[in-house]
Amino acid sequence: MKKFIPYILLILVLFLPLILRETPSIIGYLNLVMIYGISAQGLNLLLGIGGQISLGHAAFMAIGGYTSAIFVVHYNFPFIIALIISIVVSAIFGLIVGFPSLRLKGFYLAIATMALGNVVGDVLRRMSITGGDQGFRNIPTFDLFGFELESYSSKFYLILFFFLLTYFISRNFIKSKSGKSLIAMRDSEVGALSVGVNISNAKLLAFILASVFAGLSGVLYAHDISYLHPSNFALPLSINLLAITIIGGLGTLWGPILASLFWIFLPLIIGSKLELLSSVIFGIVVILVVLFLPRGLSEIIFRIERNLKKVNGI
Amino acid sequence: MLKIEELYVSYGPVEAIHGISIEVKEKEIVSILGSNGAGKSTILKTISGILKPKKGVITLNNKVINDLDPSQIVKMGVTHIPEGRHIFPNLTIKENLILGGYFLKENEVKKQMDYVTTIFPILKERLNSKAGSLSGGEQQMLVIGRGLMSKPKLLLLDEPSLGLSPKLVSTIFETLKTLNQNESLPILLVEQNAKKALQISDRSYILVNGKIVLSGKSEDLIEKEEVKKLYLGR
Amino acid sequence: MILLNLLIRGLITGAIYSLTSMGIVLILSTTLVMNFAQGDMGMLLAYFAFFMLARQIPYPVVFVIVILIGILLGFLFEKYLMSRARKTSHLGMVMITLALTMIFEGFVGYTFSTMPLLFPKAISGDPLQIFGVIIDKHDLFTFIVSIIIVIVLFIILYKTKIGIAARSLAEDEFGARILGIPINSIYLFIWMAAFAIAGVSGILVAGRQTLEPHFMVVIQLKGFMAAVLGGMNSIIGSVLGGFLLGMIENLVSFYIPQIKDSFSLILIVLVLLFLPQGIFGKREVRRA
Repeated sequence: MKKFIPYILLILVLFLPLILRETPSIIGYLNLVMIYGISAQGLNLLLGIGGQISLGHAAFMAIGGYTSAIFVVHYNFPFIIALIISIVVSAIFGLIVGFPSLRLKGFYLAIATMALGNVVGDVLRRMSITGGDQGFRNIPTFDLFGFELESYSSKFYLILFFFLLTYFISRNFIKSKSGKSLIAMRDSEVGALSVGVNISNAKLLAFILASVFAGLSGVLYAHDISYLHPSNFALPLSINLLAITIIGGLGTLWGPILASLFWIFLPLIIGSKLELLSSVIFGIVVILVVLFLPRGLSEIIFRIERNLKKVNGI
Repeated sequence: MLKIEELYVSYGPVEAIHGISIEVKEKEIVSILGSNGAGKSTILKTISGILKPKKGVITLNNKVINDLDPSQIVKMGVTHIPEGRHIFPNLTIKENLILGGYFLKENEVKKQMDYVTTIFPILKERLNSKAGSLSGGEQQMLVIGRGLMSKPKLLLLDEPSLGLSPKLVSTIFETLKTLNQNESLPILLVEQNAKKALQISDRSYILVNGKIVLSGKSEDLIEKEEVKKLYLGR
Repeated sequence: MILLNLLIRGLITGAIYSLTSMGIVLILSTTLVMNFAQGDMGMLLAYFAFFMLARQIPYPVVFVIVILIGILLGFLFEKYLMSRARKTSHLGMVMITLALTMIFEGFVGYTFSTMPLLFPKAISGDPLQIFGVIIDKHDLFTFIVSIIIVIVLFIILYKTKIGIAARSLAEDEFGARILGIPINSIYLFIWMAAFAIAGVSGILVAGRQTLEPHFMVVIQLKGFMAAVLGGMNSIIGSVLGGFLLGMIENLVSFYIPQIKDSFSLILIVLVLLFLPQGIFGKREVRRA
């Protein structure tokens, strides 16, 4: 029984656009949930598995999104090529920032990435090719070999594809030798965030994966929303992404998407009048999770799994 | 004055001390001997409140101190001088000593510091230099001196000979003996250096894998064949 | 003359960076927690101050009240949040400070709106001219107050028992615990001091720019950088790092404006790569 649950869920998800065809805007929000879910999954690998805090994760989203937008809009590259370029660029930035941090202890990465976020924002504001402080407008939607994805539901399937792809990459990474050694190191360290154990390659890989996921998420965001502005990728988003990984449950595969769902729909549920309060609520939830629910929202999944085992007569 | 009965201590799921009983009477020097990892330090840490016992009772002058935290235990007159020195290297020697007498009043601190620096004159000369600049032996003196700052009624000493030259070890042990005789200060000493410890202590316990296998008067133990073989290296 | 002007102005911005980085390093070196809420605590307290000033409460009174509220918040924060989080995980403690920034920024935006507000200066009026150097009166006030706070904190840290104990905690927690030093009270004291400092820097910075929910974010980043320059574990280093950063920054933005934006990142990467101990850092090995 338990074996089939993921497939049943997947089929359900595949039919979501049909089920929700009366309210396409919800599909639009679900697209955002997956986009931020991809980004948060990257951070989850870095923080939850690698034990390193990044405060510039949103900057990597900006790097991916702007790169793709520039190549598609200004150089007329096909979307797929622009996507590949963006991913390579994100990986290179990840390498540049990740490499020095290998040698450094504790919070240096947090500070360096925070500074990076600040610089990326400033640079994007000053350049003309990015639209500067006006923002980057009229970014075309996804173009797959001549097919333009216009509706929320068509975008849904593309984004879902990438979401599943990152999910499986993450799963493999966690189960790989690199992932396991990182987890072992994370768990053996009481207190301090990182020591100079020789697992640099694993760490670097985690950092590059994190940057690539963020870059991919930024590309999807750019062509989904069709508008980019530097302030959308400033420190608050980086902090929110950290909060998402914590609320979802550090190092868990389902955590990022569950918490991203919560994050996107919370302001919708409490209404536009109280929207600013959603950040307060979100912050309080982070504190509650830290104090009382170390596995975050994934605890729910664990509980369901356990109950299913019971149902199956174990 | 200190009585430990049927003490069990665990680190997480691992039990390190399996039901030991130890007593330190007034004016006594008592030593706990054993090899590395036998659980000697664990016992001291439990007495001083850093670790909590799983089972058993620790009493100080007939008062149960199991559940007290380290500050309360220090206030009751038990001072633990840890292994590995644990001085504060970037603080001056004076500051290190002040912290040793954290619960004393301002004027008492002064008096006690004079007392400590007469025992260890080297500290007096260098009151304002950083503790990290002291040599290994001097640091050991600082740690003992810092422990004496709190006017202890019972001293718990963990491996004072560790990493010191034989000459320095002798100096330190002589100082301890003098303290014990002049001030009637009871000392519970944990040592790997069994010979020295047996020489200065009144009674001893021998600890193997968290259990006491042998105990008695030190002068008797030193004559026992098995002790000679196992701990005195002959 | 330009150089002198630049350096003086650098010292003033540096004083603000010093205050923030001192608060950060005070917490980091003793509790090993990177406090990301240092800036936003100042932001929140500056908003409180704004509304007290709007009710015609005199500036000096507001100043003192803000310090007291900072102390109170520091107390509550350690007593009810940090002491509990300490039992769960180290990362959890850091996350709580980040959560605090979300809560504060959301709360302020919701209650007082996100519109920029004009925060009154401590001393208004025309700038002073001393030997050809032009100084705004509020800036001068900022500088003097920062110096006073630094001195007061140093007196506490070096001349009082609780301050010496706080420093010992930064060096060897086990050593401090075994001496019976009441560690929980020291933590309380440290957070109270840090949040009081946050309040002061909040008011001082608000008087130099406008008040809005994100106004302390950049200052906090600069505080971190000053801490990196100072070696992250030395309070003296953090203060010197702040002044140095303020001066370098003013010189760079005047003489090489092209790299003004990326300067902060370049500086951080350079220091991290070549001087990981910071310029004023201690070499001693700290507990892992």
